[in-house]
Amino acid sequence: MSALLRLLALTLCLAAASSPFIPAVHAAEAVEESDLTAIPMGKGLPVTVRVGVMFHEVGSFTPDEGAFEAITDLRLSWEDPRLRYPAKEAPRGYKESVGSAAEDEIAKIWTPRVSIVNRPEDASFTIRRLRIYPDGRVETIARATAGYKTPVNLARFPFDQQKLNIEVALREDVVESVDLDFSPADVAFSRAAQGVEIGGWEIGLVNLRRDLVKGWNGDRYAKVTASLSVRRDAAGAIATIFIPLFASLLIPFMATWMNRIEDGAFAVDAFELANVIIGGLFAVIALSFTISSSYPTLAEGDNTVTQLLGLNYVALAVGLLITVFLYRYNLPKRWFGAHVQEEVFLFLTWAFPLVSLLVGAACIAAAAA
Amino acid sequence: MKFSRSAPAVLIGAVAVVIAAVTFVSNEISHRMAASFEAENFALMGKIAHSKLSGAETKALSAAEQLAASGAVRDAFAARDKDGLYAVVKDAFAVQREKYGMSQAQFHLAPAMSFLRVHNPKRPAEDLSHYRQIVLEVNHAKAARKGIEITTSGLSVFGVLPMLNVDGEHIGSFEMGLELGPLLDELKKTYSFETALFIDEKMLRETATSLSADILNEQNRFGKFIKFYSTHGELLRQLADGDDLNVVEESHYLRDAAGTPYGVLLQPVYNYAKKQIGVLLVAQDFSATRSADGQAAVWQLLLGVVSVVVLIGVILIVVRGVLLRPLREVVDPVAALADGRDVDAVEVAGCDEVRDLAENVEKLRARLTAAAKIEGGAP
Repeated sequence: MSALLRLLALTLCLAAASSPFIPAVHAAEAVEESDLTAIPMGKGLPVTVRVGVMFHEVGSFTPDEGAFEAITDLRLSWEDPRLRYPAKEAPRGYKESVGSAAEDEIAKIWTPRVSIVNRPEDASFTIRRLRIYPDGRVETIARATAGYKTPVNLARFPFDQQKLNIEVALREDVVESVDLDFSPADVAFSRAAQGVEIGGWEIGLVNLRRDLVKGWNGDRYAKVTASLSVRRDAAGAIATIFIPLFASLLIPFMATWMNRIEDGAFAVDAFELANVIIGGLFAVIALSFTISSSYPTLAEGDNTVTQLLGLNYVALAVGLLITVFLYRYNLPKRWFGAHVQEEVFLFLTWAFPLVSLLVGAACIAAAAA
Repeated sequence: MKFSRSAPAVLIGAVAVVIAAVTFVSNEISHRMAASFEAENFALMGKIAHSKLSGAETKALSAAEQLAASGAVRDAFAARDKDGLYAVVKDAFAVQREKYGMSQAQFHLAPAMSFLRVHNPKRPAEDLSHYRQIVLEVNHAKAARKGIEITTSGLSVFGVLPMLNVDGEHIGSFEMGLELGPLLDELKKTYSFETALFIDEKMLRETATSLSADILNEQNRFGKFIKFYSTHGELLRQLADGDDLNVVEESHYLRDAAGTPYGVLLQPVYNYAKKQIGVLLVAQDFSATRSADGQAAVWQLLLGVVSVVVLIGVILIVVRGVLLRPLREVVDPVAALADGRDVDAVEVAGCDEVRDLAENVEKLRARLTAAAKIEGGAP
């Protein structure tokens, strides 16, 4: 039995030694130092790669698709002591190559294998520049024109602020081997260029954030997210979305206001007023459909627009209840007398619109808060 | 007093006052809860920043202890062998500098004479006693000390320890210094704090004579302070100005920057001699608490107004619909009876009390009508 256990243990050890899942750091240690494409270990591990992102141009931002297109500069910098050289070899302070020359040089050295995780398709245009400083600092800048996916949160629409994210991550090197980070110099580099404009949005600052992404068996991978903050121009949304939403609220109010009491009885037939409510229901359904087809993201989740649509449906329901229970069946009159019914009617003519409008205003005020 | 007007007015007024008071109190409670949460957050920010700085001091002292513990270092220093000492420590210091952010290492002779700057060995020896109190103190008390000091090259966190020869005699001191910038970067990386270190310009110019012009320039001037380091210069410029930084004790405030509300904590920074040399600014995004506070205020106000409207309705319906208007239908026939006019049968729908009253009025009317008939028909 013990011999069997020893055999099993030996088999497991051999399997672990030949496993492709051993940490990259072990694999890297096995590489000869003369191989410049191997991970630089001169300063120990992890190799810290600093990230900066500059937004040169933002072509479009469509919140409904959670997508934007931009021309960006991605700057990566790290230290590779093997690439140090005498300062006199570089009168400008660094050796530089651009375009295909840079690609040739980059192929000869180690570079971090970063990927842009929220870029669904390859960039339509890229060009890279390589700089190597005498002290072994290496810097690459990649200019790319590409589309990116970014999360959109419309809970505070139309007073929302969105982040145009570019997520730079390592997928092959664990954080113990290669780390992504940024310095104040990278923060200063990371900004929107002068003149960047997006219609209907105000451009803000770029912020960098470092996270760790969990992998298998406790592995963690570094990720740096560069976020360009953009704030919506609320005035534009008010005309196109909020005026129809508040206008449709008038329909149930009209159904309430159009009736009157003559000699203790309602003058307008409940059937006619119910028709107004049903017409209003179709109008709100049509408005809801229009919004969901024009602004699909707005039609989902909890935001000002869905709250106001909900308010419209509730107002229609209240209008229908008033029509049925008050105008058609005169329930207050049956239960409490004609005077109570008249007072209920008079109260509803002002309280129902007032409360509905207050709730609508509160929805907008809460989003602005 | 006309009851039909004054009664609803009084009731509505009372309801409005009570609900306004309840709304105000509940709003105040939720506002205080948010403020209390933010105050705790400020306290936590302060503790984290303080802990980071004191941790850095310990780290500097620990690195100095480690490097100075070697017998070769001690012997070379005791023999005043500058070249030998440099040869012994340079590699170890290079590792400390490259991997662990140690920026300075220096041996001193008592009381505060620079003997060897490991980070800059070519620089001639000089007397540091006019600005390095920590070195003076260590060589005087012969005990290790740690703290922040302005040096000719800027600002660092130092750990300084006395050096003894093989016989245990005091031969000078050794220090290692850590730059503050990487510590602040770690605060940003770990806690998402934006930080900036502002140093009194006068003190900086007096002592940090070899400081680069990148720091000592007009763009970095905030009142009497110079921004020595910041994790996000553009953002920090919106969060504080020179007047804000004139603090002598820890303070905090809220300010919007780039459309986001930030909680800004200002901590005075003291050197080893306990003299304030600057201010550490720590800022954190407070949009979650600010937004929750604002939304709570809006919904509480709405709830209050809706409650007032509903209760006004109840008051009007009950007072007018159940009491006053039925009562009016009884009062008018009574007035007519009193005037001796003919009155139709009194029939009123309303509460039991009003119906009782109407029934009694009807009995009275019937009796008066009958009496009038008898009176009119008598021979």
